[in-house]
Amino acid sequence: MILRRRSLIRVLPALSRQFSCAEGTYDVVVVGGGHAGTEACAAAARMGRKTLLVTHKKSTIGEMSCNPSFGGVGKGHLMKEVDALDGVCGRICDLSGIHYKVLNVRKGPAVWGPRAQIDRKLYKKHLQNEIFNHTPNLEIIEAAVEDLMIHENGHCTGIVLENGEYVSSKTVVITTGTFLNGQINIGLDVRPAGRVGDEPSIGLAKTLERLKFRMGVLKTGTPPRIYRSSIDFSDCEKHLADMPPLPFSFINSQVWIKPEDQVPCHLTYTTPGVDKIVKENLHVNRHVSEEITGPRYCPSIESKILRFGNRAHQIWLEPEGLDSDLIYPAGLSCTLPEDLQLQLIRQVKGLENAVLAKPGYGVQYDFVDPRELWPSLETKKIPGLFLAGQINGTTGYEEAAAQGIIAGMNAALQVLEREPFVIRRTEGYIGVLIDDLTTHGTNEPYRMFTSRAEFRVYLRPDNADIRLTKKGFDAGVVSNERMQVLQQTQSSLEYCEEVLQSVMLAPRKWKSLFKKPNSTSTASKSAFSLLADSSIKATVFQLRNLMPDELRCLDGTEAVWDRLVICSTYKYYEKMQTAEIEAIKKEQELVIPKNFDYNMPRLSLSMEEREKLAFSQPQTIAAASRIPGVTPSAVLRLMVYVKQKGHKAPVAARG
Amino acid sequence: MLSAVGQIPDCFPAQPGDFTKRAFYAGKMDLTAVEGLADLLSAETEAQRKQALLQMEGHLGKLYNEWAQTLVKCMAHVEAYIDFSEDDNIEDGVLESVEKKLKVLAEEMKSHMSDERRGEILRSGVQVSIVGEPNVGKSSLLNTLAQRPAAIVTSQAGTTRDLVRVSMDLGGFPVQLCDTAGLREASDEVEKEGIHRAKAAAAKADLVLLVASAPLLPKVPLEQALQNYLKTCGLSINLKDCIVVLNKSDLIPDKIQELPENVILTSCESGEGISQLLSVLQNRLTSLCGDPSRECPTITQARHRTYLETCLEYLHEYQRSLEAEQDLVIAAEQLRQALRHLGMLTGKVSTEQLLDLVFSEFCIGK
Repeated sequence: MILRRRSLIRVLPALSRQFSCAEGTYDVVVVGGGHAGTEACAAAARMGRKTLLVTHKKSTIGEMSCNPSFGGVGKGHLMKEVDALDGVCGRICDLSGIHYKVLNVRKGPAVWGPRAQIDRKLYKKHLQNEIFNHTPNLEIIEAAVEDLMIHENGHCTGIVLENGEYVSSKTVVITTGTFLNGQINIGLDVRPAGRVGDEPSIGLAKTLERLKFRMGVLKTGTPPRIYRSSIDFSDCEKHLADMPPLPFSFINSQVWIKPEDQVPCHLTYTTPGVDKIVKENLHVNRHVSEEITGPRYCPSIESKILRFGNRAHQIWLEPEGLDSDLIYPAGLSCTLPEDLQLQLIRQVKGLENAVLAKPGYGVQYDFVDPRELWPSLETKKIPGLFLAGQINGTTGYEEAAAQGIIAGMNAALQVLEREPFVIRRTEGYIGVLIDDLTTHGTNEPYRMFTSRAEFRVYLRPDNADIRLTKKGFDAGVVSNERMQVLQQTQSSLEYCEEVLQSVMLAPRKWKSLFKKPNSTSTASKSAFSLLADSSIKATVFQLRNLMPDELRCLDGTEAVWDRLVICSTYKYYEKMQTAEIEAIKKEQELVIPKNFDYNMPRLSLSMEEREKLAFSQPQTIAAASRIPGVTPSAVLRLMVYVKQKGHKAPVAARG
Repeated sequence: MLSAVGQIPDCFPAQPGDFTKRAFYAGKMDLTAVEGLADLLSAETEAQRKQALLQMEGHLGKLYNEWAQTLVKCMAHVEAYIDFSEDDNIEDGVLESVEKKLKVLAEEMKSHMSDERRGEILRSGVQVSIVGEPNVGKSSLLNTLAQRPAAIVTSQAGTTRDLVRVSMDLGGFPVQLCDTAGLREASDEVEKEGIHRAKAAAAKADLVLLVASAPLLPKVPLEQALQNYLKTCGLSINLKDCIVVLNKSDLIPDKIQELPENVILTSCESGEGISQLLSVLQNRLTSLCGDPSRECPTITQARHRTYLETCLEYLHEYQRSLEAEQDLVIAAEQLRQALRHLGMLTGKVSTEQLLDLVFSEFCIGK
């Protein structure tokens, strides 16, 4: 077993490559201990699989490389879904947040963005505690992975460490984030690194290239860190946290911190001085000169200025921890040489005397075209090999975590010889994420937005548990405790809805009860549907107090009262979307057989279409229709052919 | 040589429409342009051909595309507001400016659709029903009109107790003349049915030729006489919407002077008044079908109308949602549906296209 040999590795560095640990094959090996890796190994371990996490440094497990925050609009949705599957990041954020705030409150529950500033140290501490001490079936070693073991039959059978040691495993999940051929850029200076202070993964990058995976290069960046004490907050806008803070996890009723102990965040703006410095120094800023033709959005302050100059840009001053002396200036991602960074920062309001603790820098890294993956995140070329996280071209901890949990689950399910676990676009944001990636690929770091979800009304953060927990339980990744919480929640919701539906009054009676102007409609309305009335904005709490006789029986179910209002508000629209979803499900059922011959003359597909379809290998007509460059008429012809041949088997998530 | 080519496997002789299909499949024409071509191939009359040609060159497509552009832009602004306004700063007034643009768009769409179905009429032919009491000369009128030179005439067999239709070109407009059973109190079941159908045809027609016998007109003011005639016939249509044909003018001694514009004195026997009738007919047809000039492409298919109407409905719903203070996501759903239906005319708008717009207009951070 690996653990026994750990001391041997140190003592005998020159182990021959022929030495292999034949005994004790792991079920799942996860390479990389970032946000994707931790979710992956935790999920596989939860499913009872013998799991190994391989990381360069144990101490960086749970490291938040960039922003000291989790969540937001779209990202918060992903977190709730990961939590619904008993994932880790939501619960750990509930133990380490210092400023909890739900974004988009006024835009309606469908797009609420649960978010929190996180104390980096606390996050790491709690995450490592969970992973090291409370996760049975999981082993962790510090090592660099140099290569993969591939069997003659093409299946991945393990990894090869830098020291030559072989580790056998039935499946491997690679979650190396920004480390593949990672390079750091500051000004014109380029250094190989996955993150400042951490070695990149070169060997593994070479392996993937050798295996002929389609690769690309992406850039991202991070801002400098500034000493708190050198900032003048008096000129900045103070923003307070939510009172009370809402937990991320469905199984927590509150977060660790006392509401009043939460720290504020401050907002400030750039001045024209910043513009000047950026424009005058493009010649020493390699990263940005190449970057501005890259992503559509503005990753760095430089690109913001170059694309949308002559205006003040927002900079959020985010605390890195309760007792940290560092501030993270969000929006000030910067790749100028260090001395120029300081000059630039001092042009921002409130930062006139700022002192840099660490400079900002750009990161360039290899990623694998996610169209190389099945929706289960297994690679099409190498069975048994799964990829998750930024290696697939995404950006953000949440996007990584979402992929990690799915990859970990599916690696485990493969070992158990069970069907893969796939979330559809109609079921969750995780589904939207993975479907977008595996169908369209990406040429910029993919970020989740609610506008990507067609069924935004139905896929809400508040109902992630109802959408996904049971499905996760059936797959084996959700604990009994969480399942019980879900059952309790569901039965409370059903009971309350029943009671509220049975209480009917005429509209004018409702209006007078709530002391609102009269209405002219006459049809009786139930208390439940009243909750959706935006002119009254009733809460269950109010109803309970106004109608004690009828609603006393609701006492004890207070935990779901807020959710009832949301359910009522969206019930009608959910029904509408359900109809659309059903229609799509039908389309999805049209399976395109594996190794389909797109060159068939009767399909009359253009060269471009044939190439794209053959590369993506969409499994269903619905997936084919989403590939850019494939015309609707081509899809029509495919559909006609497929229908004629009667391919109506249930959809498989892998070939 | 054709037969030799035909021997090559997978090589089929072109079916009618194959070239069109291929052009569509090759993405060289969008949906509305292809419809135009189909119309061209079957266009029977000059005006139809003009409109079909217009559509083929994409004028209708161009109009719809402009609308789609506006709608997508508005959607992009709403989506930007939903996804980014709390982290990055999206300018104030984004939603207000969207509202304004949508109002203008809705107005444009409405006025385009209130063209009284002109294009559709043009495509399938103006329905002209010839109605009146028995023996006033309806069938004679039909024959007279149909016999004019330069008329393309096809006829369908029927009985005079039923409807007789004749398709013809009248001054470049496609017309379906419909002869009907004489209107009176009938006892015969078959005749009753014929009369019932005649009345239905009159109600459904785009234009009604009300034929009366000039000699049999009572000696009362014309207006009153005609209203009574309508009553006797059991018709509940507006006199002003008809063209009144006072037939058998050869049998009355004096000419009736001072006839209103839509009342014509004719004699199928002598041919008197027929030219005048035709010119009045043509004027009516022109206003019914519109002149498909470049400035105002007309809607040719009920399909277009349905999608446009639905799109407009959703635009109004968006308005209502905001006014009722429903949350923005629900309102945005209405916009999505509006765009979806407009997209049925010119092609779907993808999420990526939407995001392209969002990022090009707003400065969004990482």
